[in-house]
Amino acid sequence: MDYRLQATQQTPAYIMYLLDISASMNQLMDAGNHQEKRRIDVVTSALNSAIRQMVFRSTKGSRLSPRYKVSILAYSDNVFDVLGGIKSIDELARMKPLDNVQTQRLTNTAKAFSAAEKILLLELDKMQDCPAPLICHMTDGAYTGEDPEPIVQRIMNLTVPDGKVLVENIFISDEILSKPIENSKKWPGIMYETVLDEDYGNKLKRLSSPLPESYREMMIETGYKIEPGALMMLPGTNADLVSLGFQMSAATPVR
Amino acid sequence: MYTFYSDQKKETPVSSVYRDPFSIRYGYARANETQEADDFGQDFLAFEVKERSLVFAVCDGVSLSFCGDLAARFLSEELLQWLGSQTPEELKDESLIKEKLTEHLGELTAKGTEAIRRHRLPGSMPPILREVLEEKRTNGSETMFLCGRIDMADDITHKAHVFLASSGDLRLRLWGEAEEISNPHITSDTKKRWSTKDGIIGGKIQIATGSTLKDTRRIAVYSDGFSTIDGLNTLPSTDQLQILVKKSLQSPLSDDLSFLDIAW
Repeated sequence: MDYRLQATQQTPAYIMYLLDISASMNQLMDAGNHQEKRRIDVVTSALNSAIRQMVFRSTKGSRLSPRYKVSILAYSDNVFDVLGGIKSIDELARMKPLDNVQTQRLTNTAKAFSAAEKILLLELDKMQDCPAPLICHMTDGAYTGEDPEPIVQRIMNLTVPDGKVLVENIFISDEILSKPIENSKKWPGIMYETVLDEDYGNKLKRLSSPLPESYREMMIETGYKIEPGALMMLPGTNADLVSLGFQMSAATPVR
Repeated sequence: MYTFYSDQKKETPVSSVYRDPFSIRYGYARANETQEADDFGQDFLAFEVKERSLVFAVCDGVSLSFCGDLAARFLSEELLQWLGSQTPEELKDESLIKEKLTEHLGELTAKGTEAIRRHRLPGSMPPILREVLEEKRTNGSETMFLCGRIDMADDITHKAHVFLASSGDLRLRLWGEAEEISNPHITSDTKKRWSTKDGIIGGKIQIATGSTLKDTRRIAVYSDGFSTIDGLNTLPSTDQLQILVKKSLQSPLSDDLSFLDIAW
């Protein structure tokens, strides 16, 4: 129960991305280098980097060892399975899954987590020897429709021998923190006691798992300064932090 | 003369050979997934017996670096050559030989980098994998190693001059006449390795030589893929070792496995 199981071809890590594609994802945000980009473009670029990171961590010789399995669900009024099922990283490497992601209208977060829960319940039996699955949720605003909290709490209580299912939240917002984060490489992370300026941010904090030490060690190795006790929650105030969030999702220990 | 170089595309069951005065057992197996993909193992094992002297190298290529199998093979061959070119007297002076080997490992980066530069990737692979591998190529290929040379000094007392050098987490076990001897000089460290780009990284190489090894009569070296024998006080029979190899490969965490056992 300490998130130490290594991802291997026989025991791959499963990561599910839930992407909010509501209309507000068309708004512009700081993309670094004094540039602004649409939120959805920052997110797809960060997710592409995370996929690349998974590829990086899955090479053996000149081969891609399928150490990761991935789902991508995009949601707005409805939920769309972008990959058409769970794909291993070697299958995903041959796809261009994010080329045609279009924004829609609302933010039915409960529907998205409900779809995620269904997939997990179907798959969990096969994942008993694998690293604990992780859901990486990216959103830019409060939900519409049903409150997702009870569903997320149920998901966070699903367990495999490696630990409970992990839930990470990347919340793209300009107003979540009173002070901007100048350097993501030196940022300690959001703790339980961190006060956020948005109510929805505080709710997402409750719905974010504590960052496992094994993940934190991996983040430290790649130059970040996340401190013990940090939650798997990222304030997506700029492209750097959104990217950090997606990098965190793929920080499962690998063989 | 007797020479063995592991074939990185083939398993070598645990085998034994006697070349006076050395009794040698060795084995090589790729991780299950590597066998299934018919790919190259990331370990390399080589030894050579010439007259009354034995040189060996066991390398464990770092799979997250650029084609760790290349660095493992390259460095094993180079280390064997280097060890064979030294005199037993040179190998006895710990500080001098440490400096000399460190310098040699630094010099090998030019040749290693060139070997990596020339390596052709398979023609058909996803563009993202090719990009990642090309990025890795610029950072070089890496391997851990443990190498050594044993020169028989006295056939009656079975005393030998033993020299060992290491960087990384290869496992080393030493035995005297009867019991296992503790080994404070060569310890496992997963951060240490040799890189075709940067030479030794993660810390200095470890050396053991001269009087610290004077009572040694047997050594075993193996990669972490054979960690199942870590807890055994004595090494079992060759047949039993082969059973343990098969057991190691059944684990989901199975890794490439090299094993070398030398007694004199």
